[in-house]
Order: sequence, then structure tokens, then C-alpha cells
Amino acid sequence: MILDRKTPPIFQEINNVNVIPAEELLLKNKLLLGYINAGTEKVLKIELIFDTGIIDSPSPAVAHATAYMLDKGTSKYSANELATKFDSLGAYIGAEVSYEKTILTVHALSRNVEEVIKLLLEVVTNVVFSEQELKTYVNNQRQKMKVNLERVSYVAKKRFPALIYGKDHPYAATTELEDYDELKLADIQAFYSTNFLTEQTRLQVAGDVNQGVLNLLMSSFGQLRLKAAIENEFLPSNLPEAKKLKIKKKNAVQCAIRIGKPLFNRSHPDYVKMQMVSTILGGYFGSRLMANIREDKGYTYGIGSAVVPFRNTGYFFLTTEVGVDVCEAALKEIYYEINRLQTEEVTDQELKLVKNYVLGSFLKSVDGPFAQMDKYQLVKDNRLNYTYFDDYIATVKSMTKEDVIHLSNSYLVIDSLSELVVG
Amino acid sequence: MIQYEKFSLENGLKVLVHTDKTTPIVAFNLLYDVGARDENEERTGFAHLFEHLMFGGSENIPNFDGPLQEVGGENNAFTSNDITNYYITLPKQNIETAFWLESDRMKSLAFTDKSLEVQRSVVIEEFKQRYLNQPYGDVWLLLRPLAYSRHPYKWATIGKEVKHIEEATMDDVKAFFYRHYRPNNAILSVAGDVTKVQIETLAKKWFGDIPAGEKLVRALPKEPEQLLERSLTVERDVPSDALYKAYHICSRTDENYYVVDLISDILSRGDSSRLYQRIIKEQGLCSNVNAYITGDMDEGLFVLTATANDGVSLEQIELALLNEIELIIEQGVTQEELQKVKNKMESAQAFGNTSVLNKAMGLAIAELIKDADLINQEKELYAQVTGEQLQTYAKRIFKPTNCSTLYYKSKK
Repeated sequence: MILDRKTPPIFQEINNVNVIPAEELLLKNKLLLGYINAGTEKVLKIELIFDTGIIDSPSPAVAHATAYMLDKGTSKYSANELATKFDSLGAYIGAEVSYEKTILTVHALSRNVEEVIKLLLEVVTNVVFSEQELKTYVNNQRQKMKVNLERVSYVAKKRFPALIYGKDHPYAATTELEDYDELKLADIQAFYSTNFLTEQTRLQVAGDVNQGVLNLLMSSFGQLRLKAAIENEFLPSNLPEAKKLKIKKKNAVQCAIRIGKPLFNRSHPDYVKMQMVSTILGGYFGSRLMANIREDKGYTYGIGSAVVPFRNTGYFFLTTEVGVDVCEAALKEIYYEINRLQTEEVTDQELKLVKNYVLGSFLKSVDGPFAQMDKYQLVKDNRLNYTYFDDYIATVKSMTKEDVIHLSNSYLVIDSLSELVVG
Repeated sequence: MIQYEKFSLENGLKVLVHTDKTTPIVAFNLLYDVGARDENEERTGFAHLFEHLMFGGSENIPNFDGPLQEVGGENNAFTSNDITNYYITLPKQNIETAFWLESDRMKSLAFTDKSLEVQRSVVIEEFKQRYLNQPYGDVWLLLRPLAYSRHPYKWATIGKEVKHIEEATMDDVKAFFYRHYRPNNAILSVAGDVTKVQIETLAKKWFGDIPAGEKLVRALPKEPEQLLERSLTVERDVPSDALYKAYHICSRTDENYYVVDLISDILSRGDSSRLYQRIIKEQGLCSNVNAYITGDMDEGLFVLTATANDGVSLEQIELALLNEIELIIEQGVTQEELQKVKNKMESAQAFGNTSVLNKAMGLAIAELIKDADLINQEKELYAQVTGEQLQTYAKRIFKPTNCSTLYYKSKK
């Protein structure tokens, strides 16, 4: 029998995705511990999540420096001693800050977990911020930023939030080179002492989490002294009118393009469907923008779009880098594709494809204990519950052709989009 | 321990299967034993351009990505100097779609002029985006021809120059395909909630009728021993001066590979490493310093890189780096230091194994290097490395005559 290579094999649609809810323990000091015991390797990921980030800080430079310095020395150990201890245990420690939170993460081998937890507790209880560490940090960051400012894509990413939100908006805050000259250790200490280790702090652990690990975490982190949380009220400010901005960069061989506008957070009724619209436009390899601007015209190596949610707001953007000679042509095609979404119905075939693609990505995004833990974090960060994911799947499946036209006409009106070109 | 099973089809396709029942996702990794090192010097960048063309439709399937996305899958690929690797992740119930798609493009590509024309432009934009329009983006375009005089590692995967990509013809494309993209030149690795029987049935069904190609024996010019120190100074529009020093080292299959990998870790893995502590923290010379090995299949490079702080000369930094090298050669490393980097290695491997895609890819690459089982042996191979071996090997490679230095200066 000759093999039929033209007809695709029969496939099954994804009907349900098993999101395993994390279990929770409330420690005696009110610290909430979320945990997932799963996975095949003898490893764990422990995260301490502080409910404070760039929007709560006096400046993004302070928020970033504080996060960087969280594991750079305690009253007992110098930065080097700490790093040597974690490294010797085969553990990785690091902190990251975003607009809304700061996360201190440790990756550890099960066989060393007891010592790692002890050390992590030392870091959290006895952190010391030193001038010497700040000096190293400032120097390295300044150099790094100077290099980054030579990149058109970096400049576009850095300047875009202020364009769509207005420069004084909390989600438009960004660090300038001069800010490093102003950075004071006292500001970092003050930010840390008021905003960290509040009752909103959470602990998460995923991987090889047996009862022994839980006991260790309860007895050690249960002793942390937590202060009452300060709720920062989010005051929506007036958003500026959409505008076009061109930032010149001499000798650039490509220009970076960013186009977009403020939208909404995950709780908005149109959030999931707008994500679908963005996926159709530029959210995957076969998207409209990729098909036209990369695969048909060859103007770019890549182009994409996304809806980014924050706790209180969100935004839509699309981004690409194209040859300077085809910048105008690329812009024309981008707006052509947005217009096409607003005026032509998507085919059943395309809509079905995007739905399946989105559900497949979702399935992949819950693969393994660390990915499952990210879902728990999403629920906690956004003050949602696990039914969010069932709703998500149902909403994806219920999306119609009319929805695409309606939403792209509601939220992607071309005159409402700001445009930034760097190059 | 990654359990796996292995079999071959009659046409020479090697297949590896790893069962992991805990995940709803299957990883399907197809490695072709062809990279930029197999290119003609007058036609560089071809292996990578070809990777792009593999997405331009095949004999029976006009579009590769659409049908995969439709079943909830994702894919990507990369080209290195040694290999071209294609990978797919998709829901386990739809695994057959991966076999259908990958086997059709191995059987025969569509070879349309449009696809060639567009992908040439896309790759030229990639060349600009990654190598020309980035500060320090051309470092490897400069360092490779400095360090290598004969071996094809002297050109980068993207190619020596844009012109080679512009000049690629359809005849070149076809010849390259039928020479290198044959089942006997490929390794398929599948990881996820699958069984050997299931994968064997699917592999025979979809790949079984693809004819084997000519058996290829790689005979690349060997890089002669470097006898004289080499250096190059360039000026560019960048904010800081930077230094790059490249030393010739062993191949990926050599027993010293594990030794030299740990030397680079001692120097620069993590904040407690020697270079970070001394050159950045204590001496304040650099904002960034790194030591790593290229890990190539043929004899590769040990690379030291550093970005100067304002007011610090590259000569000062070079002295400081050479001093650290000298310390290893003269005094070796401590037991604690050695144990530390071994533990970090163990941890990195264990975390790598938490993803089915990493496992599938790791198995295929191990099979290419020597044997898939290498993936399970490496922990022990690293554990066995001694301080004496480190010191001896450091003495062997860190000689001025074995080094190529690039002084990358800021035009200010």
C-alpha cells in the first residue's frame, strides 16, 4: 500500500488541560507557603515573592539595585562568602524585579536542600547592603546600559511605555544613565525596610518537595518577622493621545519599530479574546504579520505582537526590526494587516488553527512542576483563582469570527495606536 | 538517569526513545549531521540558509508550520558550525503529525524559487540584526578567521559575507539537500509519554521508504598547531573597549573536554568564580568578564572576554587575565573549588533534565558525539576530573603561541 502523504494524520483537539493546583500552608507568622510535589529529578526551586516592585519604589534604579543586592551579603557573610556557599552546594540564587513584585529564587539539589534553606533564611533575615557592592553594581549597570543604548531594539523597548502611558505613569518608569549617579545606599535600605517582608510576602516551592522539606521551611521561614502590608492604591492617570515618534540613530542598518496602546488587565472581559486577536496578528510563527512581512516580503528576521497584562492595567504592542530601506514599506504592511483584521472575516480554518495553537501552547505552559508553579503564581499575583484557567479554555474555544472583527475595531483603531521608530 | 531505547531503520536513520509518563507533551528532535563546517569556502552560510528553506514547504505539504500549529504544536531549529537541529513539541496524542511533517521534508523539499528568494532576504536581515546592527556584533566574524587558518571553523554559521547568501542558487540548494539531508545522516530522538513499539511503528511507516544517501565521510582540513601569537586591533563605534583571547583546545570527543570545561567554570561560573571576584570586584578593571569553551565537535576554542571600565586599558586587563591563568598553571586549584564547580555542573544537568525537549535534544547530541549513553556517563566523567589534570591541561593550552587576541577598541 502506498502511503498517503498528502492527507494529515487524524488528530485530537485539546479538550482539557490539567492544571494542578498548588497546595497551601499558612505558617504561624501568616507567611503563605504554596507547594507542588512533582517531577522526576531530585531538584527543587524555592521562591520568595515580595509584593513590591518598580511601581512602589522611589525610582526604578532603586528597585533594581535592591533586588540585585538581596543576596550580596549578610551580617555573617560577605557577598563572596555567600556566593561561594551557594555555589558549593550546587545551588543558584538570584533576584528579579518587575513592576509589581520582587522574587528571590533558589534552585537547589535535593541532597543539599537542608543547608540551602538555612542559607536562604540567613540571606532573608540578615541582609546587609554595602557601599562596595553598590559601587560594583552601579559600574556594571552603567556600562551595560551604554552598550544597550547602541541597540535600536533596546531603545525602542525603553522609550515605548512613556509614549503610550505618558512619562509620569507608574508603568512608564525607566532608569536613565544619570540615575546611577544619584543612587544612594540609604534609599535602598529605606525601600527594603518599608516594603519587604510584609505579610503579603509569599513562599513557593516546587519539585522534589517531601514532608521533610515542608517541615524545614515551616520551622525556618515560620520564624520570619513580617510587618503589616501597605496597600498602594493604583490611581489611573489620564492617558495621552496616540502619537508618532522617531528617534534617530546614526549608522543604523536596521530600524526598530514598536506600535501599540494601553489596554487592560487579565480580569477584563475582553482580555483573553484580545490575546487571540493579537495571536492571529503577530503571536506565532504563522501569524499574519510573519506571513506577510517576513515570509512574503523578506523585510525582517522576525515580527511579533502581544497583549501584556499588569495587575492594574495592560497594553498591546507589536515589534520588529527591519532594514532601514524598507522601514516605510514595512509600516505600510503592518497597518494593512491591522486593517484587514477589522474588515475581513478570518476563515474558519485560520480561526481553528489559532485556537488549537493557543491551547497547545497552554498545555506546554503547564508541563512540569516549575511550570505548574508559574500558574499558581499567576493566580496569586493577580488575585484570581484556579477557575481562571477553565474560563480561559472555554473563552478560547468560544471565540468567533465576529469577535475578531468586533475586537479589532474596538481596540486596534489605527489612529489610537502610537508608533515609535528608532533608527 | 535517562532511560532510553535505540534502534535503526534499514535506510540508516537512528532513532532514540525516552519514556517520561509525567508529561502531556512530546518532544520530537531531528538532528542532521551537517553544519557550517561542511560548507564550501566560497559558499558559506549555506547550512544556515538551508535551515530556513526547510520551512518553505515540502513535496506533499505546501506549508510546514500551519498543520503543526493546527494540532497544538510548536517548532524551531538552529544551525551551528557542527549540526542542524530541528525540534517540535506537541500534545502527545498528536505525535503522528510530527512524523508526517518531518518525514515529508526529509523525503523531498518543494524547492520553489519564491522560498529561496524570500529566505535569502530574511537571512540577510538576520545577518544585519545579529551581526552588524549590534555593538560588538561582529566579534566572531573577526575572531574566527584570526584563530583558524585552515579548519572551516574560520567562518561563522551566518557566513563570511552577505554576498555568499545573495549568490546561492537553486542548484546549490538541491545538491546540498540530497547530499546531507538523508536518513543515514540523521538522528531522531523522541521523548515523552510514548513507547518504543509505538515510535518504531511510526518511524517505519513515515521514514521507512526514504532512500538512504551516499555514506559521507568527513575529511575536513585539520587546523595546524599554532606556532606564533596572533592579534588584531579594530576600532568600532562602541561605548567601551573589549578584549577577546582565544586558545585552541581539544575536541568534544576528547577526554580532556571535561577537564577544560571545568577550567572555564573555575574561572568564571557564578559570582564566586575567580575572574568575577578578582578582576571585577577586587581590582575593578572590568564591567564584565567571562571564560568559556566553544564545545565544538572538532578542536575548539577556550575564550576569555572582558569589557573594560572607563580609564582602564586593554593591556592592564590582559595582564590581569594572564595573571589568573598563571595562578592556575603554577598553583592549581583547591579541592573545594573543584568540588564546587562539579556540584554546579551536576545541578545544571539535573535542572536541564526537567524538560522533555532538553532530554530529547541531549540524547540526539550525545549519540552524535559518541553514544546516547554519554548523557548518563557525563556526571561521572566530570566527577573524575582531578586538580592535577586541570593544572596539566592548563599548562598545555595557555601558551602565548596558542593564542589569538582581538583588541576591540572604542572609537572615541
